Amino acid sequence: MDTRSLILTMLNFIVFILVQTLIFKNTVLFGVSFAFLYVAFLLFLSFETTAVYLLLAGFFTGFVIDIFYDSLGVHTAACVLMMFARQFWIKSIIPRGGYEIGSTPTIASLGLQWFTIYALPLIFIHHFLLFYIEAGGFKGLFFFTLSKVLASMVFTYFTVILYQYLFFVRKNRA
Amino acid sequence: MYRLYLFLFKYRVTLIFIFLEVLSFWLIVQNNRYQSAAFFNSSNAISANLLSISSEIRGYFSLKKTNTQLAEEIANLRKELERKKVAPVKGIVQDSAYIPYEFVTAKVISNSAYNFNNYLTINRGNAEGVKPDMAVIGPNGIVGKIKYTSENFAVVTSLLHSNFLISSKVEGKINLCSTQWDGVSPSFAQLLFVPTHIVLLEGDTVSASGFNSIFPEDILIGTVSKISLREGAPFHEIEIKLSTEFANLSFVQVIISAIRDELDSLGVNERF
Repeated sequence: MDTRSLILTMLNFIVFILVQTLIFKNTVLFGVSFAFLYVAFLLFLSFETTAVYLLLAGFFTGFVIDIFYDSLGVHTAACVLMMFARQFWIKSIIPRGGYEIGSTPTIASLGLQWFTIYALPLIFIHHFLLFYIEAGGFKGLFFFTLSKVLASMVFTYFTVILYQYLFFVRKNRA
Repeated sequence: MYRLYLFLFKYRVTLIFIFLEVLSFWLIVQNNRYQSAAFFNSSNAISANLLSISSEIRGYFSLKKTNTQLAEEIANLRKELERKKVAPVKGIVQDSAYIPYEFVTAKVISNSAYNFNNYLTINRGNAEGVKPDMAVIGPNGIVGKIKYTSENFAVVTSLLHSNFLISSKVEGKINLCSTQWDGVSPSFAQLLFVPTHIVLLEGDTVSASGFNSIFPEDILIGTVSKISLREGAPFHEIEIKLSTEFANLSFVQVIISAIRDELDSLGVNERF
């Protein structure tokens, strides 16, 4: 990774953290649906990033988010698991002809259909661990927690898609 | 030795993964156990200042609601004041220098109500004498207690939290029961340990019993909204409607108790 892309990645990181903590932290639909747009930062890391860096990036991102959410460790655990799953998942859904060198797993480079197959299960894994750790202190909330997981998965997925159509896909065509 | 290195290198990703997950769970346990001054929470300077800028902006959109809330609170306090004026008890001389509770008003700069464990961040900290385990109340009643403090900010554990229990009472009927949130709706909580021989009615007022020294007596918690009894159970199942609207809190008050240390030293806390 050269210096330019490193600085870009860091700027990207700061923007995602700010947007998450200042806007989406206060956005809850119907009391059960949360948007964790910041996972997009982790999902968009390029194909060449090594597995160890992916895990460390997951840990760090989760940790910073936890500071703002006062839930030390919860987002961290969810992000690390998601990044661990990501490398296996990316290998198993390789498109015909493989991945282009230097590309990122986004709609712009691989299309909406591939991205959905890529992102939805990973978002699900992240939200699943996140909400079930949080619900640990309560008894008998299995289905309520599941409803939170699924509703939030849909909300997060749509914000991630929307973000790409707003900022990336069009820029690519131009 | 070489084979060991080879093994470690081969499974490095899995090993790092396990290490980071263990570290995360250790953090979760630490965060739940200790009430001490920790740095990694939203009361630290960077995150708290950021959050207060955002709350400044959001504040403008809820001015009307906040005004109404404050006006209602003033009306209630007036009423209370009038009642106190009417009946001075004969023969008792009040020590005018003795003030059992002091109130510090704070602005809520970050808030959550729909998570399983909810926290608020407020803009008062050590500098104003705010310390962990102090009670926090809103215009309509109980809000939570202080968890962490920094110089100018504090994190409040909301009543909407899995390990939050308040010893409660229903005036004239029972003064040994507890309120706990069940994790679902931010408007309702459960009233626990009410024996079956006690008859409660919908609409009865639930308030803090004052048996633990954190919350002063008679601070409003909510009203009874649903009572049911399962066959053979020793206690009623009671749902209460919380008086505080957790989703839109703008200002809260921290209660600094002068008799707190004295009560603690008597061991009042240990019994409940």
